[in-house]
Amino acid sequence: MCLMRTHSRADLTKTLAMTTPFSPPLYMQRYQFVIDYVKTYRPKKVIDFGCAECCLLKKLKFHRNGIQLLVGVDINSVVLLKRMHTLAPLISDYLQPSDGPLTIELYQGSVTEREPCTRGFDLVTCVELIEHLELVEVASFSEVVFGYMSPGAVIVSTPNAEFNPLLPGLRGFRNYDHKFEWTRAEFQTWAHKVCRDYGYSVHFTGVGEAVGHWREVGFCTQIAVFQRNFHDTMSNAERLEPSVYRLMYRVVYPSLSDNNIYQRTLVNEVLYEAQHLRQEWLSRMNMDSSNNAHFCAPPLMDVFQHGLEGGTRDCQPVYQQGGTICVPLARVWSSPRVRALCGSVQRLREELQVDSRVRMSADGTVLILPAAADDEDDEEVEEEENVKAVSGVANNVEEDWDRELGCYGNV
Amino acid sequence: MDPKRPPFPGPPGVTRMPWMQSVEDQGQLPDQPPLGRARGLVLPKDEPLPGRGRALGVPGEMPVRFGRGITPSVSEPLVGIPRGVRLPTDEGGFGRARGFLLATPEPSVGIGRGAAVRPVSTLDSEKSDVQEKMPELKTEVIYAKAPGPGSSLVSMFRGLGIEPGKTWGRGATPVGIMRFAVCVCSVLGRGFVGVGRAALPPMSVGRGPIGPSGPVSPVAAPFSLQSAASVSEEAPVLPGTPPKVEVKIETVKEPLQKIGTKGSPVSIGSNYIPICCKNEAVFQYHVTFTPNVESVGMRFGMMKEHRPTTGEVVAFDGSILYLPKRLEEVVHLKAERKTDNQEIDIKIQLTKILPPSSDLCIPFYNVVLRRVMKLLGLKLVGRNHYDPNAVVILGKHRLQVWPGYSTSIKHTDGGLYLVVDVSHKVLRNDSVLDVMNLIYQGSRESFQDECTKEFVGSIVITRYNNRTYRIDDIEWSKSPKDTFTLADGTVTTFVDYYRKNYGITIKELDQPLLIHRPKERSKPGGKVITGEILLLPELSFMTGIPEKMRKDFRAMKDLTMHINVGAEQHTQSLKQLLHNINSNNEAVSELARWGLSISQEILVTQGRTLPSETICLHSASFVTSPSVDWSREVVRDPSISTVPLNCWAVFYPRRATDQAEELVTTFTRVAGPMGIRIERPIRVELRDDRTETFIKSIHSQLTSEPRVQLVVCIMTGNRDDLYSAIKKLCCIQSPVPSQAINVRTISQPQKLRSIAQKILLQINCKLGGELWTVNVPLKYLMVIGVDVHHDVSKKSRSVMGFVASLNSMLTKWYSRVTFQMPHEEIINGFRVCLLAALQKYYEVNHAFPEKIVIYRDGVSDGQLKTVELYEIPQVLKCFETIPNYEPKLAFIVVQKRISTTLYSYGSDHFGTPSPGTVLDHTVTNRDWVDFYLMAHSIRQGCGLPTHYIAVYNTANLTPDHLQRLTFKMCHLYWNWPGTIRVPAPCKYAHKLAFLSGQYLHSEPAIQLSEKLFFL
Repeated sequence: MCLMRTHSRADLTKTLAMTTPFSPPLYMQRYQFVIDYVKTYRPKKVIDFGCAECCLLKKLKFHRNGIQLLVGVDINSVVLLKRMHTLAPLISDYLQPSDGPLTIELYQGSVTEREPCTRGFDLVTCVELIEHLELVEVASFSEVVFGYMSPGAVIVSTPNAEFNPLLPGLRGFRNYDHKFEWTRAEFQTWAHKVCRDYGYSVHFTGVGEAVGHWREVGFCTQIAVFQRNFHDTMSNAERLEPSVYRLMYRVVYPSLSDNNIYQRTLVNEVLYEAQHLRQEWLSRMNMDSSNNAHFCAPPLMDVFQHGLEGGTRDCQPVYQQGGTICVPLARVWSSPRVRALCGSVQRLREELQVDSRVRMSADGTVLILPAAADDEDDEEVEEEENVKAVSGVANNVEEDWDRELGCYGNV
Repeated sequence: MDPKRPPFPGPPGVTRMPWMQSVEDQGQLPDQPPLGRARGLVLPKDEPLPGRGRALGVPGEMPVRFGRGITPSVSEPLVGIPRGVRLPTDEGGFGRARGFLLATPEPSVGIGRGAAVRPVSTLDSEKSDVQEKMPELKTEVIYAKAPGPGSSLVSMFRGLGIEPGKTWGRGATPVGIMRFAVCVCSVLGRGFVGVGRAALPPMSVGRGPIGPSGPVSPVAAPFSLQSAASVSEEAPVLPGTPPKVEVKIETVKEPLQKIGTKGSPVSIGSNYIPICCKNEAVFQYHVTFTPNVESVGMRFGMMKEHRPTTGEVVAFDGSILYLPKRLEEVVHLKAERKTDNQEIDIKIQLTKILPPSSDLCIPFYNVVLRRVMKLLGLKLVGRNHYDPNAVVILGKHRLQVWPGYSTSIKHTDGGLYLVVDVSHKVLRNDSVLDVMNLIYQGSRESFQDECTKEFVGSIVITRYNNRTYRIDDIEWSKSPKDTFTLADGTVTTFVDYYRKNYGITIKELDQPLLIHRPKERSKPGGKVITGEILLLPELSFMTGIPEKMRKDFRAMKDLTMHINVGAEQHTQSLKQLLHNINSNNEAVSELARWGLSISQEILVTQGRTLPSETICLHSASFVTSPSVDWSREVVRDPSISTVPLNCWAVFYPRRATDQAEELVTTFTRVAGPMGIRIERPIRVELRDDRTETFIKSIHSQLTSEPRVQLVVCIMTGNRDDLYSAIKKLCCIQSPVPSQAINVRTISQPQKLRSIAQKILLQINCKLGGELWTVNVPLKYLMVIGVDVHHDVSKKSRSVMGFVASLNSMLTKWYSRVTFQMPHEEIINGFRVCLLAALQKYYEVNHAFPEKIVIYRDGVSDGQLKTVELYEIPQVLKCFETIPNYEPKLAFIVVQKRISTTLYSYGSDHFGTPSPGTVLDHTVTNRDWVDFYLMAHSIRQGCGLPTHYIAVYNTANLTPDHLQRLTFKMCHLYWNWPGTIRVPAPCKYAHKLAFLSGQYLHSEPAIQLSEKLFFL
């Protein structure tokens, strides 16, 4: 119940960093440790307990490496409310939607409570968290995280008490809210018991090493990485609405996995490309048309068919047919952006054929654009409005502001 | 004095809160002579002089403010006083008196403005008072007094209270500058020193007549309370100042007289939303830490631990604390400094009781507002909020239009308002690198030049945060492989930096870098930000309308369709926002923390439509139609005066021969009705349309035939270089009026007639002819327009255009240009221009103008003080150089880029207001005489009025005069047979400055100064 995080991790370590020169600062190293882990193991669903200022979440949102669901939990709702907007999509996320989906959720809740919607995760991180719990709560924490949630992996970091003598000026614990600070032995005893009880295996590491003969005190921050030994049955379970935790924030990032966004992005790229080709063709036509050679023969169909997958693709000419300009799909397909969006020209054709904004030939090989090019109805808005000719001097009484001013001046 | 003495005889009840009173009964005490108000004069011996304590607080800064009269600074133009005040002793007395606050709890006691009449002898005793240090508890109750209309001295001396521009300059726009840490529960720190300073714009002192004759201001000059109050506020900020207590109650001052009566009343809506303040007051405290705690962050932390005392709603900047609730007079709290376990005493001292609409509160109200906008899911880009869910995608142009709002809370004459404007952000799917690639494909040789042209001056948004940057330059010699130094001293390459921090892999390793040079400013912490910021083209998205698209009429139509919203749509979006705010519980409670609630309804009030004007041509005259358009009349009847075209030359490339021929023929056909005599021109057919060909040919023609009155050039295509070359030749080298015509505009036979008529009118102006006028019933009047053109790329100097009328009909104009250093808005060459104009006026009229009205364009709210303190004294000094010459002056600032929108309102429906609509109350500025006038008729979009601020007015023009004169001036722009948005001289000055800055890059020849050659 008292997962108190009155001081952020960052704050704490910043003060420490002033005295022990870790570079990069220790809190950064801890985050980097998690990021590296995510990079290697590519979990899809990640939950961060005690996320506080959401710094780790913010980092993971950039270093996604395939994360699709990112959840932060903290007992302090105020700090969540204050910081949640830092997790919102950036403008660029709308300008260039990412390939994979991402949802970020923030909950107010405690690690000692069982919350059904936290089950089925691939990775749980508890960075500098357990030392803020009373020892009795650590037991229920173990039960909830490893027994109830049983995620694929758990990263737990906590101060190494043996390192404390090396921190200048430190008396007692590193933070006044710490309930305990464990030695390596104490930490490992707890971790091994967890493994026995809930079927995990663990290995120990850490960040922040002392130099020279001090090395034997171990890392400044000790880290345990737990891996579940049995196969998971819940990872594909339906996402539940929270029943114990309180949802503070949820945001779904725009991504190409959303069909609407995909369709829209693709069609925009295609239209832009087609427009570009049309414009290019028109200006070329204008240039070498001192006379009016308007029509260009449509290409032979067989050449066209050949060219589709062959090397002559780029030679597919744009041509005019009646009042329309025809842009071969193959030309549009040669745009790297379009290619990146859909794997094959078949798929491209299928996508475009169902879109109302694109006009295509019946066989789906040619995009049809209006030829009506520069009919520039320049629209200098010639207002030939019927201005009633009100001539003659108006009934205006002669005004004299000077006189009025004179009067006023005497007040 | 007993420090435990309560500041009030009792708790401040309703009757003691002047801002709770209605305006009527709060104001004037006409039966009280101004003298009595000057000072409380007789004070009990044991009562300290309250003003004193304050003066002591900031010994370092005070001399400027209090000792003005004493020090020789009297003659400094900066201050702007000396003219008005011939008796330095009086002035000194005044300066001090202003600062004085009476220690009497009597509400009827006023404060000295009239102190100028105080005996000189007191000055010395005052000075000795200043020397005393008296850390004391004081109670000060201040009540605003509007001086009666008879107190001419008061208004005369209003100019004195001005603080040096530097001190106040920033403050004038409290919105947006101040970064406040408004706390819900925890404080995010942004220290700032001088809340008081930021909130000081209410300093209404110093405007108004400083005329040597001491004329009576038509405008009541209310005493500005804040000026005094704010001074006191700075005292506690200084370390080492003895703690003192001065609980002050800020009061609402009397509005200025700015309401006119002429015209017919109409219902007017505006984009102002009333805000209701439920709190009775906001309490300002000063917080001291003993022993001193340096770190602002640590101060926040310590205050945070005492939320049980302060409550959850807190605005704290490290030393000044605002709470919506009242604590004990002095509260002592304890905290422990975590670093050394030192016990810290926190003393929270009540310093001021503010009305909830006080200007001091507005910065943190705006913070609350920003949070509300975030709660609604809107995204902050730059300063405005945009809705990602309502984005319009223009795939064809690879850009997105984000609809959104610019919002701010303002305290205007009508009270506290939320000002909402509909805003659109154009974002592009292209990164700068994409565009660079396109440019490269287009032109390899001039790639770098083209890039500079395209990017420098444009705004980009970065991929890894929502920040926007202006590109100031391109660094071609660097690439992402280069290194830079991080704040902590580590050196890293750009590639590594983005990979490590944002997981972004840079694809193009050979791109140049973009340079952003932030304006040098000091962060609240005292850190000065300098140096360049380097950005990666690949990670920077373009914003704004692409230059190429701007020229593409059709593409712009696609875009403006979404951007130019009419009044109906505009009000709909506003209502939608209001609905969203009020139906969002979190947003409502966020606002309620400070007792704010935002109305659901858009402001509707009463405005006026000014009377129609009579346009006078040579002999015909007519009243304008409701659409204020007289394009028919000007081509049907003769202009006031015309210049016969006896000798003129037309230059055209061979392929435009037909069009040139046609044009000349049409000219001769349409010239008659307008009263223009026109001879056959010298026709010069050019073998090609190269710039060189044009220039050579024009030059030789002008040399061989010096009588040429006019050069007409027919150009093919939109060619800036050619245009620039022609103008340089004809405006500087061989001064002659010139007219450039794009062949496309004269290529359509069915339009040729009306085009030719327009061109001919324009030519007539350029030659010195006069088209039409309106009657301005003021004799010996000179109207001046001033505008400044800044080059976007910052490379060139700024240009000031200056245009002054020379005759009583306002049909002869004298124009000058001066160049100034980059981004220097202040007009240094003003004097030169004005003197030359006065001289010219004398030559024409054999007398100097008695009244001068200056319309000054392009001054933001924050610069008003600078105008008052710097430009106006320059103008006044100019007059001094002419013996016995003291003209009346009205200086009116013209603001076009404002967020105020006006709607007509009738039968529950918002529309566009008709031309001549004026609004001079409610939404107006509390510190100035100002009004909003919509002179032009609106064809598309919303009713955007122009804001006029009479910064200075010894001409004593009444609000009606100011408004009607301004409207009249909007009729006189000869390039448009109708009304325009700004007074004609402003528009002329703008045209002139633009031509000189953009194309000439130098001053035009003096021979042209009496012709409107720049039209």
